[in-house]
Amino acid sequence: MFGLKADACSIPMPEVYYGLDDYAKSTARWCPGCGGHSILAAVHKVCKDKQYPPEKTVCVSGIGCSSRFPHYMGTYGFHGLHGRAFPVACGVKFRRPDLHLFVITGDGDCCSIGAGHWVHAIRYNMKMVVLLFDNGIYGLTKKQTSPTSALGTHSNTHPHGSVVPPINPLQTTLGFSNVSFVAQTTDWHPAHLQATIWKAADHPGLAFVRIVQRCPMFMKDLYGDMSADPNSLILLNHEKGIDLDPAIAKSFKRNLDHDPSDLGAAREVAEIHDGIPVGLLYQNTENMRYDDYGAHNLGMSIDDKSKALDALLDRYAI
Amino acid sequence: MEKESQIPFGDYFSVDPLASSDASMVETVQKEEPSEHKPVLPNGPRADEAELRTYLKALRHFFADGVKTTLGLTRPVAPVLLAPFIRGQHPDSDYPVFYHPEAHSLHPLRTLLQDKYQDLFSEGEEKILKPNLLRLEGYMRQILTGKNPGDYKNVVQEAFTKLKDLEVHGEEGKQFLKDCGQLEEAMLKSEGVLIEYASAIPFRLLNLELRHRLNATRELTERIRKLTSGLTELLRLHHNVPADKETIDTGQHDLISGLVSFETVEKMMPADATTGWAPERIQRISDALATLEHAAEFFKDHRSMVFVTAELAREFSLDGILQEATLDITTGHPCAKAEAYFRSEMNDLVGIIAAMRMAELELSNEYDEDLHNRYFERFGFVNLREEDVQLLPGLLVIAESRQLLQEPEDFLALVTDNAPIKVLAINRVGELRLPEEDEDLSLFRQELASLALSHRNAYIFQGSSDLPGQLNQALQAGLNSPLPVLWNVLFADKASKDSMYDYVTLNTACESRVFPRLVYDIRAGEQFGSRFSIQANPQADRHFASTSLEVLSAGQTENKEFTLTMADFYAMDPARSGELEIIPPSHYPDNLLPLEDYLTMSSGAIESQLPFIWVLDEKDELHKAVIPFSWLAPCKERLDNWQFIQELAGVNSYHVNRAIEKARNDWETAKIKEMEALKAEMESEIARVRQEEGGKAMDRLVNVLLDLDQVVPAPSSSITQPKAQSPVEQGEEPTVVQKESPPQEEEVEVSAEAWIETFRCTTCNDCINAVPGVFKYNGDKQAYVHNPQGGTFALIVAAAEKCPARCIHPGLPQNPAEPNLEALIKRAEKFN
Repeated sequence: MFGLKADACSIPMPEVYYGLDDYAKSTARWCPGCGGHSILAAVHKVCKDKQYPPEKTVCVSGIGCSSRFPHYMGTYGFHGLHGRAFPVACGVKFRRPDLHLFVITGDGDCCSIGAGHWVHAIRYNMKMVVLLFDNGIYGLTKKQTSPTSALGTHSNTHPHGSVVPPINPLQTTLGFSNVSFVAQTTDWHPAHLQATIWKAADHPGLAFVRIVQRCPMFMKDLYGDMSADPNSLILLNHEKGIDLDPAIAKSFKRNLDHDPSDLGAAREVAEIHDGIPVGLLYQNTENMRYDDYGAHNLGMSIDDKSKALDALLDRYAI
Repeated sequence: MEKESQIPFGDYFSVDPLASSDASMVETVQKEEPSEHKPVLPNGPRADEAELRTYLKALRHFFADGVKTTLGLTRPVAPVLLAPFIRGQHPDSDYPVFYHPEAHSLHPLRTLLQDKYQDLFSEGEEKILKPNLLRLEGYMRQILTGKNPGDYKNVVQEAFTKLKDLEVHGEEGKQFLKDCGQLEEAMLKSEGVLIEYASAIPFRLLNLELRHRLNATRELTERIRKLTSGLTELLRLHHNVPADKETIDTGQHDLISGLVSFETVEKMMPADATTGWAPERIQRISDALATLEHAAEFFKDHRSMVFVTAELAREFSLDGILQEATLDITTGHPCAKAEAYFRSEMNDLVGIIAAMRMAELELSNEYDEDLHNRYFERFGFVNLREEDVQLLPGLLVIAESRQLLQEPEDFLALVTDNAPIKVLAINRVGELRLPEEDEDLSLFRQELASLALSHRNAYIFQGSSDLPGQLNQALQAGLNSPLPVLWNVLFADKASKDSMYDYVTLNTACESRVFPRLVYDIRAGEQFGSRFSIQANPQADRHFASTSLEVLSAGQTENKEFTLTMADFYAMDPARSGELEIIPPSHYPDNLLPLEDYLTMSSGAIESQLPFIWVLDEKDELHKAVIPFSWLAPCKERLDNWQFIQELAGVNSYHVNRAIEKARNDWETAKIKEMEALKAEMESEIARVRQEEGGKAMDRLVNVLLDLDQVVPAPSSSITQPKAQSPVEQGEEPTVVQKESPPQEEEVEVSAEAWIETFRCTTCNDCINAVPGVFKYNGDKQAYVHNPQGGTFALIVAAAEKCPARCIHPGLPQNPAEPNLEALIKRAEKFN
């Protein structure tokens, strides 16, 4: 034994132990086979393993199939307006930095109407886990083209196939200023999904995770065969990457060594199209965080605030 | 929100909606992130050159005479690796330990809990109990505090009672209680003792080992009893000795199974018959019998003996702790007394062993007078076998190491003798500290273990009770050894009151090379090197052990290596840590060298350099602290001692390193020669071919010019040029390594029963809802097959087809009478 280490038993432990049932609420009403079930189970497990108190955990969502998520979590939640998950989440984090925050958004909610907020949420880099349920379609409203729908996708809005090239959410996020964490995973690999969400939860800033999600109702052909093909996924390997059990990692047929501190390499990985690269594309733990900045006046009493206001107004007194 | 609780607009500033039970938000935030207390590297402007030069001069004076400068910082500091523990943080350790008398084993409590858990629950079962094993351990330790040793069963029951109060909701809560009950029951099946760390721990462990040896003594006593009974019966049969029914055991014994029972023979033979045995034989057997009859008394009167001074017995309360031994409180030299005791009692012991051997030979009718008479006439201690010696009561000496060193003759006589006397030498931490200025500065410390080692005869252990498993192994090995033993153990100072701080000090002393751990076991191998081990020391192949810590530097986190040197140990002494010169960050000179480098570099390289160690102040700021020259000599001496021990162990050995370097140089020289030879050969070959081709080309040219050769073959060269490597094109995608795919035709063994690749389950609820008789969720809400016969094959196949993760494998039908099996099996094929 070398090196004196702190006593593991001295770590204060609360007198409650939260099980999976503490994080689960009502039965999820997503379609059978929807990737949302898997993501929900993974988030439950991460919360349980980290023992987040449910009353100190918040899920914020916009509108879409993805955004039903808060209803299925036994934590606090906010099911907001279409595209407005980010501003609500940023507000929650700014004033309540003690809360564990998950932002659940979809390809339409985030990349279309919510795109403006998306840019600045990344830039403000406040600590939260953003899960983008990207199934390439507007599912809740029964099949309209979304910003991430592949070219030629047939939908109600484009019966002859979509004509505009899709957004690449990874590439886009990597292009925003102050980006600090970008990862990609899939709903059909629960072990990798869970490990990715765990890593995202440990990140000190905004952790953006794009989850490639199946929609068995409207986009059966999109990832249907891929989910059964072990060659479809490319595991990104690095000691600083997603911490995966070696036995699970061995099951991936395709591997790619990738250093997540290299932004340039991350952008190259984001452009891989003959397979889905899964893992941590980019991480920088030293980026500025707006919640750090905002914490300076937390805990001010009413008197302090009154005095501060008075002092400000006195400067203009005649 | 209810209307009553809404804040009226006008009262907005008088009621703080955030002033709820979370009184201080910032405090709450800080509590959520306790890990931010990283050491901080200094960062700031540097003083000007003139100031630096002046300070450097003062620093050199400090190094020489130990007088601190006026610029040095005066805040309290501690060595960086030890600071949290010096300031009261509880270190992780192998304590408390659980001693299992039946299995004769010692385990840290944590290992015991994990082993019991693993015996009960399989790897894949996710139980809420598992992450709470640490909590259970914490409860057990709290309950054990102040009760040393603790009653194991009471501690377990109390701890589980507390654990069961843990709030776990719903079905998981019920399962948790059930699992707790199972684990509690499993733990209560063990009998044992829980021992927390305390200064007297080596004696507690020793007592447990002596108690275990009682089993061997009982076996010996039983063996003697059987021999006694056998000899008695033998005499009765061959010489009419009046029956003493109490001494004769008329039951069947293994030893006399070849003989007829007494009653049968008595009926057949006349009362005064003899079988013609010689009187000498009868006398011999009678003498042996008499010796054996008193042997049990001998062993009863001769428990393990411990020779110790009154002060030590009082200090460690040995009367109460060493209950399996008889204490002989001595004022003189305990080694001499132990040896004298052994010599005086040895004859009796030798007599008993001789009598046992004789009895065994007689009872098996193998006694050969021509051979054995002479043997037993000369029977002495040298004839005792190893297993004989291990049966003997322990003979122990407990003494201060410095006392043994002051009068080494008796100790040396002991370690070079064949008497199995065990010496537990007590070394004090205080003796390892820096010498006081007015003391005689004996530069080289006397090493008791090395002294014993040089005589190569004894079993030697050096270490402390910070690693209870190692200490216990050494005590066991020593007690079982037929040779002399030295346990050279480090103890805390007498006056010490804080047991966990003692633990930290002992651990640091051992791991900073001040009191390195070693084991010498003569029975471990034929050659010296194979008997000697220093592997219990961290990073034993290096001069010092080091570890990496995360530090903050200019707001960035980086990893930095810190080394544990003997100066860190010396700096633990609050009386001496003030002697360090803590350099202000603005005044760091260029010629500072980490102590570990200073001590190991050549004198030329360290000229004009100053050695420093890293220290931490109470604000978690890192500082460089220069050590004075008076610290350097003891540091060098300890390093020299460590290198001596490394050489003995063949680790980082000067000679081995030289041999390796020589071998490497020889190999490189040979390789260079080979390369040169090949190069020369290639060049001559090139020259030869050029010449030849040149000649041929000329010939062809001449022929062409003279119109003699119509066909002009293209010039050829027999030398192949290496292919130029194509540069990597820009914009090329990163190379994806594809693993070799297995051959196409693979025979896949189909499981007879349905099964699920649980780790791939996406918790979609489909199979659980469709076939609950077969599929169930585990603790992680991932499906598994709990009953392969719980549903029809049709339902299982349908579930496999519906499963979005395609992780259900239907296997083969369990019920051959089920309809449409052929079609179902065909459908199931692609999922199996």
